[in-house]
Amino acid sequence: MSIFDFLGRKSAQSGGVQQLKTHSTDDFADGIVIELRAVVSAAIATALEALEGRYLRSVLEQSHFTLDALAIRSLDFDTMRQLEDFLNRHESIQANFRDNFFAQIVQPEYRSSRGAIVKATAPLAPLIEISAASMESETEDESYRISLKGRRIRFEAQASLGGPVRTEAPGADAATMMEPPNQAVRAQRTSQPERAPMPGNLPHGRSDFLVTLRVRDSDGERSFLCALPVQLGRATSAAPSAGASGAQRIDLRSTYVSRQQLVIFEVMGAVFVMVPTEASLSCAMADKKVMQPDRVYRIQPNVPMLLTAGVPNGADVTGLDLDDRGQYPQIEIALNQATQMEEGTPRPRATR
Amino acid sequence: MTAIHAAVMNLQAHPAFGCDAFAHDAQAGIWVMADGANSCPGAKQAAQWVVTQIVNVLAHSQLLSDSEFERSVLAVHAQMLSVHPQTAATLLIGQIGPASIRLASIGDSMLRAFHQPAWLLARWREQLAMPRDLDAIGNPSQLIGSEVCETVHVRHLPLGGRWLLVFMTDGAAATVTSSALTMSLATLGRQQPSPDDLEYLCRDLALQALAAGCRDDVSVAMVWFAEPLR
Repeated sequence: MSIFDFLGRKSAQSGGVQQLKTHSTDDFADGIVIELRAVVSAAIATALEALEGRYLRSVLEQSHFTLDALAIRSLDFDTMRQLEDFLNRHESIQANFRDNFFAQIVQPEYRSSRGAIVKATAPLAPLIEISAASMESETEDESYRISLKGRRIRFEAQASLGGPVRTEAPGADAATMMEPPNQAVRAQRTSQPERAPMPGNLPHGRSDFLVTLRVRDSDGERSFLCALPVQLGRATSAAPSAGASGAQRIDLRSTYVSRQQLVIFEVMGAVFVMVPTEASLSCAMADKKVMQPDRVYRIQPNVPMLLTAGVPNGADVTGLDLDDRGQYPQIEIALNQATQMEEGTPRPRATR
Repeated sequence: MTAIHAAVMNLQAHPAFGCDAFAHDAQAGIWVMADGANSCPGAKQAAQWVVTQIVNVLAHSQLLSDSEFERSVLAVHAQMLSVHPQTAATLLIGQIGPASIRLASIGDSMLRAFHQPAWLLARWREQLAMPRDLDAIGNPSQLIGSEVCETVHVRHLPLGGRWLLVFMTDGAAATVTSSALTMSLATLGRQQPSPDDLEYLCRDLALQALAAGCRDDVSVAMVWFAEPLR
Protein backbone atom coordinates (compact mmCIF):
# COMPACT_ATOMS: atom_id res chain seq x y z
CA MET A 1 0.00 0.00 0.00
CA SER A 2 1.41 3.35 -1.03
CA ILE A 3 1.34 6.45 1.11
CA PHE A 4 -1.25 7.95 -1.29
CA ASP A 5 -3.58 4.99 -0.86
CA PHE A 6 -3.19 5.26 2.88
CA LEU A 7 -3.96 8.99 2.90
CA GLY A 8 -6.85 8.53 0.51
CA ARG A 9 -8.39 5.82 2.68
CA LYS A 10 -7.85 7.91 5.77
CA SER A 11 -9.66 10.96 4.34
CA ALA A 12 -12.49 8.83 2.95
CA GLN A 13 -13.02 7.08 6.25
CA SER A 14 -13.01 10.38 8.06
CA GLY A 15 -16.01 11.48 5.94
CA GLY A 16 -17.82 8.23 6.64
CA VAL A 17 -17.56 7.16 2.99
CA GLN A 18 -15.45 4.25 1.89
CA GLN A 19 -13.91 4.55 -1.57
CA LEU A 20 -13.60 1.26 -3.35
CA LYS A 21 -10.53 0.77 -5.43
CA THR A 22 -11.58 0.03 -9.02
CA HIS A 23 -10.07 -2.76 -11.04
CA SER A 24 -7.11 -1.83 -13.19
CA THR A 25 -8.92 -2.88 -16.40
CA ASP A 26 -11.65 -0.32 -15.70
CA ASP A 27 -9.02 2.37 -15.28
CA PHE A 28 -7.54 1.26 -18.54
CA ALA A 29 -10.92 1.36 -20.30
CA ASP A 30 -11.70 4.84 -18.97
CA GLY A 31 -8.35 6.05 -20.20
CA ILE A 32 -8.42 4.63 -23.67
CA VAL A 33 -11.99 5.42 -24.69
CA ILE A 34 -11.27 9.11 -25.09
CA GLU A 35 -7.90 8.49 -26.63
CA LEU A 36 -9.31 5.99 -29.12
CA ARG A 37 -12.10 8.38 -30.04
CA ALA A 38 -9.55 11.08 -30.79
CA VAL A 39 -7.32 8.74 -32.75
CA VAL A 40 -10.25 7.38 -34.79
CA SER A 41 -11.55 10.89 -35.53
CA ALA A 42 -8.10 11.94 -36.69
CA ALA A 43 -7.78 8.87 -38.90
CA ILE A 44 -11.19 9.49 -40.50
CA ALA A 45 -10.34 13.16 -41.00
CA THR A 46 -7.10 12.20 -42.73
CA ALA A 47 -8.86 9.72 -45.00
CA LEU A 48 -11.59 12.24 -45.75
CA GLU A 49 -9.12 15.00 -46.61
CA ALA A 50 -7.45 12.69 -49.08
CA LEU A 51 -10.77 11.94 -50.78
CA GLU A 52 -12.98 15.01 -50.62
CA GLY A 53 -10.72 17.17 -52.77
CA ARG A 54 -11.41 14.89 -55.70
CA TYR A 55 -15.11 15.75 -55.76
CA LEU A 56 -17.16 18.79 -56.59
CA ARG A 57 -18.81 20.48 -53.64
CA SER A 58 -22.19 19.76 -55.26
CA VAL A 59 -21.38 16.04 -55.16
CA LEU A 60 -20.30 16.22 -51.52
CA GLU A 61 -23.50 18.06 -50.58
CA GLN A 62 -25.76 15.29 -51.89
CA SER A 63 -23.71 12.28 -50.85
CA HIS A 64 -21.73 10.74 -48.04
CA PHE A 65 -18.75 8.46 -47.67
CA THR A 66 -19.05 5.18 -45.84
CA LEU A 67 -16.65 4.01 -43.19
CA ASP A 68 -15.68 0.64 -44.62
CA ALA A 69 -12.84 -0.39 -42.34
CA LEU A 70 -10.93 0.86 -39.36
CA ALA A 71 -7.61 -0.44 -38.09
CA ILE A 72 -6.27 0.50 -34.68
CA ARG A 73 -2.66 -0.19 -33.85
CA SER A 74 -1.14 -0.03 -30.40
CA LEU A 75 2.25 1.61 -30.48
CA ASP A 76 4.03 0.02 -27.57
CA PHE A 77 4.18 -3.39 -26.03
CA ASP A 78 2.54 -2.50 -22.71
CA THR A 79 -0.48 -0.95 -24.37
CA MET A 80 -0.80 -3.81 -26.79
CA ARG A 81 -0.78 -6.36 -23.97
CA GLN A 82 -3.19 -4.35 -21.83
CA LEU A 83 -5.63 -3.90 -24.71
CA GLU A 84 -5.58 -7.57 -25.60
CA ASP A 85 -6.04 -8.58 -21.94
CA PHE A 86 -8.84 -6.10 -21.55
CA LEU A 87 -10.73 -7.27 -24.64
CA ASN A 88 -10.17 -10.98 -24.02
CA ARG A 89 -11.17 -10.75 -20.35
CA HIS A 90 -14.43 -9.02 -21.15
CA GLU A 91 -15.18 -11.16 -24.17
CA SER A 92 -14.97 -14.25 -21.98
CA ILE A 93 -17.88 -12.81 -20.00
CA GLN A 94 -19.80 -11.00 -22.73
CA ALA A 95 -19.53 -12.47 -26.20
CA ASN A 96 -20.28 -9.26 -28.09
CA PHE A 97 -18.26 -7.03 -25.79
CA ARG A 98 -15.90 -5.96 -28.55
CA ASP A 99 -18.79 -4.62 -30.67
CA ASN A 100 -20.32 -2.78 -27.74
CA PHE A 101 -17.01 -1.29 -26.67
CA PHE A 102 -16.13 0.01 -30.11
CA ALA A 103 -19.68 1.24 -30.68
CA GLN A 104 -18.92 4.00 -28.19
CA ILE A 105 -15.63 4.76 -29.92
CA VAL A 106 -16.95 5.18 -33.47
CA GLN A 107 -19.40 8.03 -33.91
CA PRO A 108 -22.33 7.54 -36.30
CA GLU A 109 -21.32 10.54 -38.42
CA TYR A 110 -18.28 12.71 -39.06
CA ARG A 111 -18.22 15.97 -41.04
CA SER A 112 -15.46 17.98 -42.64
CA SER A 113 -15.34 21.75 -42.97
CA ARG A 114 -15.88 21.38 -46.74
CA GLY A 115 -19.19 19.65 -46.17
CA ALA A 116 -18.15 16.06 -46.70
CA ILE A 117 -19.85 13.50 -44.47
CA VAL A 118 -18.68 10.09 -43.33
CA LYS A 119 -21.30 7.71 -42.02
CA ALA A 120 -20.64 4.55 -40.09
CA THR A 121 -23.79 2.77 -41.16
CA ALA A 122 -23.34 -0.65 -39.58
CA PRO A 123 -21.76 -1.61 -36.26
CA LEU A 124 -18.10 -1.65 -37.17
CA ALA A 125 -15.60 -3.67 -35.18
CA PRO A 126 -12.18 -2.17 -35.85
CA LEU A 127 -9.31 -4.41 -36.72
CA ILE A 128 -6.84 -4.43 -33.86
CA GLU A 129 -3.39 -4.64 -35.35
CA ILE A 130 -0.26 -5.59 -33.52
CA SER A 131 2.61 -3.72 -35.05
CA ALA A 132 5.91 -5.55 -35.32
CA ALA A 133 7.67 -2.53 -33.83
CA SER A 134 5.73 -2.82 -30.61
CA MET A 135 6.99 -6.39 -30.16
CA GLU A 136 10.61 -5.29 -30.16
CA SER A 137 12.39 -4.90 -26.87
CA GLU A 138 13.17 -1.23 -26.61
CA THR A 139 15.24 0.95 -24.39
CA GLU A 140 13.57 2.94 -21.63
CA ASP A 141 13.74 6.10 -23.75
CA GLU A 142 12.05 4.64 -26.80
CA SER A 143 9.50 2.41 -25.10
CA TYR A 144 6.65 4.74 -26.01
CA ARG A 145 5.97 7.83 -28.08
CA ILE A 146 4.92 11.20 -26.74
CA SER A 147 3.19 14.16 -28.36
CA LEU A 148 4.85 17.57 -28.64
CA LYS A 149 3.17 18.58 -25.39
CA GLY A 150 4.36 15.50 -23.61
CA ARG A 151 1.25 13.28 -23.80
CA ARG A 152 1.96 9.62 -24.24
CA ILE A 153 0.68 8.39 -27.62
CA ARG A 154 -0.53 4.83 -27.29
CA PHE A 155 -2.50 4.22 -30.48
CA GLU A 156 -2.67 5.10 -34.11
CA ALA A 157 -5.54 4.38 -36.45
CA GLN A 158 -6.17 4.09 -40.15
CA ALA A 159 -9.59 4.48 -41.74
CA SER A 160 -10.75 3.23 -45.13
CA LEU A 161 -13.66 5.05 -46.72
CA GLY A 162 -16.01 3.95 -49.46
CA GLY A 163 -18.34 5.87 -51.71
CA PRO A 164 -19.47 8.53 -52.05
CA VAL A 165 -23.07 7.34 -52.28
CA ARG A 166 -26.16 9.49 -52.60
CA THR A 167 -27.46 10.33 -49.14
CA GLU A 168 -31.08 9.61 -49.93
CA ALA A 169 -31.32 5.96 -50.82
CA PRO A 170 -31.21 5.55 -54.57
CA GLY A 171 -34.57 4.52 -55.88
CA ALA A 172 -36.35 5.75 -52.77
CA ASP A 173 -38.58 7.76 -55.02
CA ALA A 174 -38.18 5.41 -57.94
CA ALA A 175 -41.92 4.90 -58.17
CA THR A 176 -42.49 8.54 -58.96
CA MET A 177 -39.43 8.82 -61.16
CA MET A 178 -40.16 5.73 -63.21
CA GLU A 179 -41.26 6.27 -66.75
CA PRO A 180 -43.96 3.91 -68.03
CA PRO A 181 -42.42 0.79 -69.50
CA ASN A 182 -42.07 0.40 -73.20
CA GLN A 183 -45.43 -0.56 -74.69
CA ALA A 184 -43.84 -3.17 -76.89
CA VAL A 185 -42.22 -4.87 -73.92
CA ARG A 186 -45.46 -4.72 -72.01
CA ALA A 187 -47.23 -6.45 -74.88
CA GLN A 188 -44.69 -9.25 -74.79
CA ARG A 189 -45.15 -9.76 -71.08
CA THR A 190 -48.90 -10.14 -71.39
CA SER A 191 -48.52 -12.66 -74.17
CA GLN A 192 -46.76 -15.16 -71.89
CA PRO A 193 -48.29 -18.64 -72.00
CA GLU A 194 -50.65 -19.69 -69.26
CA ARG A 195 -48.98 -21.54 -66.45
CA ALA A 196 -49.91 -25.13 -65.91
CA PRO A 197 -52.05 -25.69 -62.81
CA MET A 198 -49.83 -26.52 -59.87
CA PRO A 199 -50.67 -28.73 -56.94
CA GLY A 200 -51.17 -27.23 -53.54
CA ASN A 201 -50.85 -23.63 -52.48
CA LEU A 202 -47.74 -22.01 -53.86
CA PRO A 203 -45.72 -19.95 -51.41
CA HIS A 204 -45.32 -16.22 -51.94
CA GLY A 205 -41.98 -15.20 -53.39
CA ARG A 206 -41.98 -17.90 -56.04
CA SER A 207 -39.75 -16.96 -58.93
CA ASP A 208 -41.28 -15.48 -62.07
CA PHE A 209 -38.96 -17.67 -64.10
CA LEU A 210 -40.59 -20.49 -66.00
CA VAL A 211 -39.06 -23.69 -67.27
CA THR A 212 -40.52 -26.24 -69.62
CA LEU A 213 -39.95 -29.79 -68.37
CA ARG A 214 -40.38 -32.85 -70.52
CA VAL A 215 -40.32 -36.06 -68.47
CA ARG A 216 -40.05 -39.51 -70.05
CA ASP A 217 -40.48 -42.40 -67.60
CA SER A 218 -42.44 -45.65 -67.28
CA ASP A 219 -45.66 -43.63 -67.58
CA GLY A 220 -44.64 -42.26 -70.97
CA GLU A 221 -43.89 -38.67 -71.88
CA ARG A 222 -45.32 -35.67 -70.04
CA SER A 223 -44.66 -31.92 -70.31
CA PHE A 224 -44.89 -29.28 -67.60
CA LEU A 225 -44.58 -25.51 -67.56
CA CYS A 226 -43.31 -24.76 -64.06
CA ALA A 227 -42.45 -21.74 -61.96
CA LEU A 228 -39.23 -22.25 -60.04
CA PRO A 229 -38.16 -23.81 -57.75
CA VAL A 230 -39.08 -27.32 -58.84
CA GLN A 231 -38.18 -30.62 -57.20
CA LEU A 232 -38.28 -33.93 -59.07
CA GLY A 233 -38.13 -37.36 -57.48
CA ARG A 234 -39.68 -40.75 -56.83
CA ALA A 235 -43.37 -40.69 -56.02
CA THR A 236 -43.77 -42.01 -52.47
CA SER A 237 -45.87 -41.01 -49.52
CA ALA A 238 -42.66 -40.27 -47.59
CA ALA A 239 -41.42 -37.76 -50.13
CA PRO A 240 -41.47 -34.18 -48.91
CA SER A 241 -44.55 -32.29 -49.94
CA ALA A 242 -44.52 -29.24 -52.15
CA GLY A 243 -45.57 -27.02 -49.29
CA ALA A 244 -42.82 -28.27 -46.99
CA SER A 245 -39.94 -27.53 -49.33
CA GLY A 246 -41.54 -24.55 -51.03
CA ALA A 247 -40.90 -26.15 -54.40
CA GLN A 248 -43.32 -27.51 -56.93
CA ARG A 249 -43.06 -31.29 -56.89
CA ILE A 250 -42.99 -33.49 -59.99
CA ASP A 251 -43.05 -37.25 -59.55
CA LEU A 252 -40.87 -39.58 -61.60
CA ARG A 253 -41.89 -43.21 -62.10
CA SER A 254 -39.05 -45.54 -63.00
CA THR A 255 -37.11 -48.30 -61.31
CA TYR A 256 -34.08 -46.20 -60.42
CA VAL A 257 -34.86 -42.78 -59.04
CA SER A 258 -34.29 -41.08 -55.69
CA ARG A 259 -37.01 -39.42 -53.70
CA GLN A 260 -35.23 -36.05 -53.96
CA GLN A 261 -33.57 -36.60 -57.31
CA LEU A 262 -33.21 -33.11 -58.72
CA VAL A 263 -33.86 -29.49 -57.80
CA ILE A 264 -34.23 -26.67 -60.33
CA PHE A 265 -34.00 -23.12 -59.03
CA GLU A 266 -33.27 -19.56 -60.04
CA VAL A 267 -30.65 -17.26 -58.52
CA MET A 268 -30.24 -13.66 -59.70
CA GLY A 269 -31.74 -14.33 -63.07
CA ALA A 270 -29.87 -17.54 -63.86
CA VAL A 271 -31.42 -21.01 -63.68
CA PHE A 272 -29.53 -23.89 -62.10
CA VAL A 273 -30.04 -27.61 -61.42
CA MET A 274 -28.61 -29.59 -58.54
CA VAL A 275 -28.70 -33.15 -57.23
CA PRO A 276 -29.20 -32.78 -53.45
CA THR A 277 -26.86 -34.65 -51.11
CA GLU A 278 -29.90 -36.55 -49.81
CA ALA A 279 -30.24 -38.29 -53.19
CA SER A 280 -28.65 -41.73 -53.23
CA LEU A 281 -28.63 -41.71 -57.05
CA SER A 282 -27.47 -39.01 -59.41
CA CYS A 283 -28.20 -37.86 -62.97
CA ALA A 284 -26.18 -38.29 -66.15
CA MET A 285 -25.88 -35.37 -68.53
CA ALA A 286 -26.05 -35.60 -72.32
CA ASP A 287 -22.27 -36.14 -72.52
CA LYS A 288 -22.63 -39.12 -70.11
CA LYS A 289 -20.93 -37.23 -67.27
CA VAL A 290 -22.53 -37.89 -63.89
CA MET A 291 -23.61 -34.83 -61.90
CA GLN A 292 -21.85 -34.40 -58.58
CA PRO A 293 -24.17 -34.15 -55.57
CA ASP A 294 -24.61 -30.65 -54.15
CA ARG A 295 -22.96 -29.01 -57.14
CA VAL A 296 -24.94 -26.51 -59.21
CA TYR A 297 -25.08 -26.65 -63.00
CA ARG A 298 -26.36 -23.70 -64.99
CA ILE A 299 -28.94 -24.14 -67.71
CA GLN A 300 -27.85 -22.06 -70.66
CA PRO A 301 -30.49 -20.09 -72.52
CA ASN A 302 -31.45 -21.62 -75.87
CA VAL A 303 -29.72 -24.89 -74.90
CA PRO A 304 -32.11 -27.38 -73.27
CA MET A 305 -30.47 -29.62 -70.67
CA LEU A 306 -31.06 -33.36 -71.07
CA LEU A 307 -30.60 -35.50 -67.96
CA THR A 308 -31.03 -39.20 -67.28
CA ALA A 309 -31.90 -39.77 -63.64
CA GLY A 310 -31.23 -42.76 -61.42
CA VAL A 311 -27.59 -43.42 -62.29
CA PRO A 312 -25.20 -44.38 -59.49
CA ASN A 313 -23.15 -41.61 -57.93
CA GLY A 314 -19.64 -41.29 -59.31
CA ALA A 315 -19.99 -44.40 -61.47
CA ASP A 316 -19.24 -44.98 -65.12
CA VAL A 317 -22.54 -45.07 -67.00
CA THR A 318 -21.24 -46.58 -70.23
CA GLY A 319 -22.47 -50.06 -69.29
CA LEU A 320 -25.97 -48.94 -68.37
CA ASP A 321 -28.95 -49.04 -70.67
CA LEU A 322 -29.88 -45.40 -70.24
CA ASP A 323 -32.45 -45.58 -73.05
CA ASP A 324 -34.68 -47.82 -70.95
CA ARG A 325 -37.23 -45.35 -69.58
CA GLY A 326 -38.73 -48.01 -67.32
CA GLN A 327 -35.45 -48.05 -65.42
CA TYR A 328 -33.98 -44.57 -65.94
CA PRO A 329 -36.30 -41.56 -66.38
CA GLN A 330 -35.21 -38.82 -68.73
CA ILE A 331 -35.72 -35.13 -67.95
CA GLU A 332 -35.42 -32.36 -70.50
CA ILE A 333 -35.24 -28.84 -69.06
CA ALA A 334 -35.62 -25.76 -71.24
CA LEU A 335 -35.92 -22.16 -70.22
CA ASN A 336 -39.23 -20.72 -71.21
CA GLN A 337 -39.19 -18.09 -73.99
CA ALA A 338 -40.35 -15.41 -71.56
CA THR A 339 -37.56 -16.36 -69.18
CA GLN A 340 -35.01 -15.99 -71.93
CA MET A 341 -36.48 -12.62 -72.80
CA GLU A 342 -35.99 -11.55 -69.19
CA GLU A 343 -32.54 -13.03 -68.92
CA GLY A 344 -30.72 -11.64 -71.85
CA THR A 345 -30.56 -9.98 -75.16
CA PRO A 346 -31.36 -12.42 -77.98
CA ARG A 347 -29.22 -12.49 -81.10
CA PRO A 348 -31.21 -11.06 -84.01
CA ARG A 349 -31.71 -13.50 -86.88
CA ALA A 350 -32.37 -12.75 -90.51
CA THR A 351 -35.92 -13.51 -91.65
CA ARG A 352 -35.93 -15.32 -94.95
CA MET B 1 -10.19 20.05 -75.89
CA THR B 2 -10.37 18.82 -72.30
CA ALA B 3 -12.03 15.42 -72.06
CA ILE B 4 -12.83 13.54 -68.87
CA HIS B 5 -14.56 10.20 -68.70
CA ALA B 6 -15.63 7.50 -66.25
CA ALA B 7 -17.45 4.21 -66.54
CA VAL B 8 -19.20 1.93 -64.08
CA MET B 9 -19.50 -1.45 -65.71
CA ASN B 10 -21.56 -4.57 -65.07
CA LEU B 11 -23.08 -3.41 -61.82
CA GLN B 12 -24.91 -6.62 -61.08
CA ALA B 13 -24.10 -9.18 -58.46
CA HIS B 14 -24.30 -12.24 -60.67
CA PRO B 15 -20.94 -12.88 -62.35
CA ALA B 16 -22.62 -14.62 -65.27
CA PHE B 17 -24.20 -11.34 -66.30
CA GLY B 18 -21.06 -9.29 -66.87
CA CYS B 19 -21.45 -8.91 -70.62
CA ASP B 20 -20.80 -5.17 -71.03
CA ALA B 21 -17.47 -3.72 -72.08
CA PHE B 22 -15.99 -0.26 -72.43
CA ALA B 23 -12.82 0.90 -74.12
CA HIS B 24 -11.35 4.26 -75.00
CA ASP B 25 -8.41 6.11 -76.38
CA ALA B 26 -8.70 9.52 -74.78
CA GLN B 27 -5.75 10.87 -76.78
CA ALA B 28 -7.46 9.97 -80.01
CA GLY B 29 -10.82 11.12 -78.63
CA ILE B 30 -12.79 7.89 -78.96
CA TRP B 31 -14.97 6.09 -76.43
CA VAL B 32 -16.78 2.80 -77.16
CA MET B 33 -19.28 0.71 -75.19
CA ALA B 34 -20.72 -2.69 -76.14
CA ASP B 35 -23.28 -4.96 -74.53
CA GLY B 36 -22.89 -8.63 -75.44
CA ALA B 37 -26.14 -10.48 -76.07
CA ASN B 38 -26.64 -12.29 -72.76
CA SER B 39 -28.44 -15.20 -74.33
CA CYS B 40 -25.38 -16.17 -76.36
CA PRO B 41 -22.36 -18.09 -75.10
CA GLY B 42 -19.16 -16.04 -75.00
CA ALA B 43 -21.03 -12.72 -74.98
CA LYS B 44 -18.64 -11.23 -72.44
CA GLN B 45 -15.53 -12.04 -74.48
CA ALA B 46 -17.21 -10.86 -77.67
CA ALA B 47 -18.12 -7.50 -76.14
CA GLN B 48 -14.56 -7.00 -74.89
CA TRP B 49 -13.21 -8.00 -78.28
CA VAL B 50 -15.44 -5.65 -80.24
CA VAL B 51 -14.75 -2.53 -78.15
CA THR B 52 -11.00 -3.13 -78.40
CA GLN B 53 -11.21 -3.69 -82.16
CA ILE B 54 -13.32 -0.60 -82.74
CA VAL B 55 -10.94 1.60 -80.73
CA ASN B 56 -7.95 0.20 -82.61
CA VAL B 57 -9.56 0.58 -86.01
CA LEU B 58 -11.10 4.01 -85.47
CA ALA B 59 -8.54 5.68 -83.18
CA HIS B 60 -7.12 7.73 -86.02
CA SER B 61 -10.14 7.95 -88.26
CA GLN B 62 -11.44 11.38 -87.29
CA LEU B 63 -11.00 12.56 -90.88
CA LEU B 64 -12.91 9.67 -92.42
CA SER B 65 -16.15 10.47 -94.15
CA ASP B 66 -19.29 8.93 -92.68
CA SER B 67 -19.45 6.30 -95.40
CA GLU B 68 -15.80 5.33 -94.78
CA PHE B 69 -16.47 5.30 -91.06
CA GLU B 70 -19.48 3.04 -91.59
CA ARG B 71 -17.44 0.71 -93.81
CA SER B 72 -14.79 0.45 -91.07
CA VAL B 73 -17.41 -0.51 -88.48
CA LEU B 74 -19.00 -3.05 -90.81
CA ALA B 75 -15.55 -4.51 -91.46
CA VAL B 76 -15.25 -5.15 -87.72
CA HIS B 77 -18.72 -6.70 -87.86
CA ALA B 78 -17.61 -9.05 -90.65
CA GLN B 79 -14.52 -9.98 -88.64
CA MET B 80 -16.66 -10.61 -85.56
CA LEU B 81 -18.86 -13.04 -87.50
CA SER B 82 -15.84 -15.27 -87.97
CA VAL B 83 -14.10 -14.68 -84.61
CA HIS B 84 -17.24 -14.86 -82.43
CA PRO B 85 -19.81 -16.57 -84.67
CA GLN B 86 -22.28 -17.50 -81.93
CA THR B 87 -22.80 -14.11 -80.36
CA ALA B 88 -23.48 -10.44 -80.99
CA ALA B 89 -23.33 -7.10 -79.22
CA THR B 90 -24.71 -3.61 -79.19
CA LEU B 91 -22.28 -0.83 -80.03
CA LEU B 92 -22.03 2.83 -79.05
CA ILE B 93 -19.27 5.12 -80.27
CA GLY B 94 -18.41 8.70 -79.33
CA GLN B 95 -15.62 10.33 -81.30
CA ILE B 96 -14.32 13.88 -81.13
CA GLY B 97 -13.10 15.14 -84.48
CA PRO B 98 -11.48 18.40 -85.53
CA ALA B 99 -14.76 19.87 -86.75
CA SER B 100 -17.50 17.91 -85.00
CA ILE B 101 -18.41 15.19 -82.56
CA ARG B 102 -19.35 11.96 -84.31
CA LEU B 103 -21.73 9.57 -82.54
CA ALA B 104 -22.57 6.10 -83.81
CA SER B 105 -24.82 3.30 -82.60
CA ILE B 106 -25.94 -0.22 -83.44
CA GLY B 107 -28.49 -2.09 -81.37
CA ASP B 108 -30.60 -1.13 -78.39
CA SER B 109 -28.08 0.47 -76.03
CA MET B 110 -28.55 4.17 -75.43
CA LEU B 111 -26.27 7.11 -76.17
CA ARG B 112 -27.49 10.58 -75.26
CA ALA B 113 -25.70 13.87 -75.73
CA PHE B 114 -26.23 16.87 -73.47
CA HIS B 115 -24.89 20.33 -74.20
CA GLN B 116 -24.25 23.48 -72.20
CA PRO B 117 -23.37 26.57 -74.25
CA ALA B 118 -20.34 28.58 -73.18
CA TRP B 119 -22.24 31.74 -72.27
CA LEU B 120 -23.00 32.49 -68.68
CA LEU B 121 -26.20 31.12 -67.11
CA ALA B 122 -26.61 28.65 -69.97
CA ARG B 123 -28.29 25.43 -68.92
CA TRP B 124 -27.66 21.85 -69.85
CA ARG B 125 -30.02 20.64 -72.56
CA GLU B 126 -30.40 17.29 -74.25
CA GLN B 127 -29.16 17.74 -77.78
CA LEU B 128 -29.46 14.27 -79.22
CA ALA B 129 -30.48 10.72 -78.42
CA MET B 130 -29.08 8.16 -80.81
CA PRO B 131 -31.61 5.83 -82.52
CA ARG B 132 -32.15 2.48 -80.84
CA ASP B 133 -32.79 -0.60 -82.97
CA LEU B 134 -35.78 -2.28 -81.35
CA ASP B 135 -38.25 -4.69 -82.87
CA ALA B 136 -41.97 -4.88 -82.16
CA ILE B 137 -41.51 -6.85 -78.94
CA GLY B 138 -38.65 -4.83 -77.53
CA ASN B 139 -35.71 -6.98 -78.61
CA PRO B 140 -32.81 -5.55 -80.61
CA SER B 141 -33.53 -5.68 -84.33
CA GLN B 142 -29.84 -5.55 -85.26
CA LEU B 143 -26.55 -6.09 -83.43
CA ILE B 144 -22.95 -6.05 -84.48
CA GLY B 145 -21.81 -9.63 -85.03
CA SER B 146 -25.35 -10.95 -85.59
CA GLU B 147 -27.02 -12.13 -88.78
CA VAL B 148 -28.65 -8.71 -88.99
CA CYS B 149 -26.34 -5.69 -88.99
CA GLU B 150 -27.21 -3.40 -91.84
CA THR B 151 -27.15 0.17 -90.59
CA VAL B 152 -24.61 2.07 -88.56
CA HIS B 153 -26.46 5.10 -87.22
CA VAL B 154 -24.13 8.10 -87.43
CA ARG B 155 -24.86 11.62 -86.21
CA HIS B 156 -22.75 14.76 -85.85
CA LEU B 157 -22.78 17.46 -83.22
CA PRO B 158 -21.01 20.81 -83.38
CA LEU B 159 -18.06 21.56 -81.15
CA GLY B 160 -18.18 24.40 -78.64
CA GLY B 161 -19.41 24.77 -75.09
CA ARG B 162 -19.54 21.77 -72.81
CA TRP B 163 -20.76 18.34 -73.76
CA LEU B 164 -21.72 15.32 -71.74
CA LEU B 165 -22.16 12.01 -73.52
CA VAL B 166 -24.03 9.38 -71.50
CA PHE B 167 -23.61 5.75 -72.60
CA MET B 168 -26.03 3.23 -71.13
CA THR B 169 -26.61 -0.43 -71.90
CA ASP B 170 -30.21 -1.50 -72.48
CA GLY B 171 -30.81 -2.55 -68.86
CA ALA B 172 -29.98 0.92 -67.57
CA ALA B 173 -31.55 2.65 -70.56
CA ALA B 174 -34.92 1.05 -69.82
CA THR B 175 -34.96 2.06 -66.17
CA VAL B 176 -32.95 5.28 -65.76
CA THR B 177 -35.29 8.20 -66.15
CA SER B 178 -34.84 11.60 -67.72
CA SER B 179 -35.33 13.23 -64.33
CA ALA B 180 -32.44 11.19 -62.92
CA LEU B 181 -30.25 12.38 -65.77
CA THR B 182 -31.39 15.96 -65.18
CA MET B 183 -30.32 15.64 -61.55
CA SER B 184 -26.90 14.44 -62.66
CA LEU B 185 -26.53 17.44 -64.96
CA ALA B 186 -27.64 19.78 -62.19
CA THR B 187 -24.90 18.32 -60.00
CA LEU B 188 -22.33 19.12 -62.67
CA GLY B 189 -23.54 22.67 -63.16
CA ARG B 190 -20.93 24.78 -64.89
CA GLN B 191 -17.98 23.18 -63.16
CA GLN B 192 -15.38 20.91 -64.64
CA PRO B 193 -15.87 17.48 -63.08
CA SER B 194 -13.10 15.12 -62.08
CA PRO B 195 -13.13 11.47 -63.17
CA ASP B 196 -14.27 10.69 -59.61
CA ASP B 197 -17.25 13.02 -59.99
CA LEU B 198 -18.28 11.31 -63.19
CA GLU B 199 -17.79 7.89 -61.64
CA TYR B 200 -20.04 8.93 -58.77
CA LEU B 201 -22.72 10.07 -61.21
CA CYS B 202 -22.42 6.89 -63.30
CA ARG B 203 -22.68 4.71 -60.20
CA ASP B 204 -25.62 6.73 -58.93
CA LEU B 205 -27.53 6.21 -62.17
CA ALA B 206 -26.63 2.52 -62.24
CA LEU B 207 -27.82 2.08 -58.64
CA GLN B 208 -31.06 3.80 -59.51
CA ALA B 209 -31.52 1.37 -62.40
CA LEU B 210 -30.98 -1.59 -60.08
CA ALA B 211 -33.31 -0.10 -57.46
CA ALA B 212 -35.95 0.29 -60.17
CA GLY B 213 -35.83 -3.46 -60.74
CA CYS B 214 -33.41 -3.86 -63.63
CA ARG B 215 -32.40 -7.53 -63.84
CA ASP B 216 -29.83 -7.13 -66.56
CA ASP B 217 -26.24 -6.08 -65.97
CA VAL B 218 -26.11 -2.31 -65.67
CA SER B 219 -23.38 -0.19 -67.20
CA VAL B 220 -23.17 3.56 -67.44
CA ALA B 221 -20.34 5.65 -68.85
CA MET B 222 -19.98 9.39 -69.17
CA VAL B 223 -17.67 11.52 -71.26
CA TRP B 224 -17.47 15.23 -70.44
CA PHE B 225 -15.56 17.56 -72.68
CA ALA B 226 -15.15 21.25 -73.25
CA GLU B 227 -13.05 23.52 -75.36
CA PRO B 228 -10.33 25.26 -73.35
CA LEU B 229 -10.87 28.88 -72.38
CA ARG B 230 -9.22 31.33 -74.76
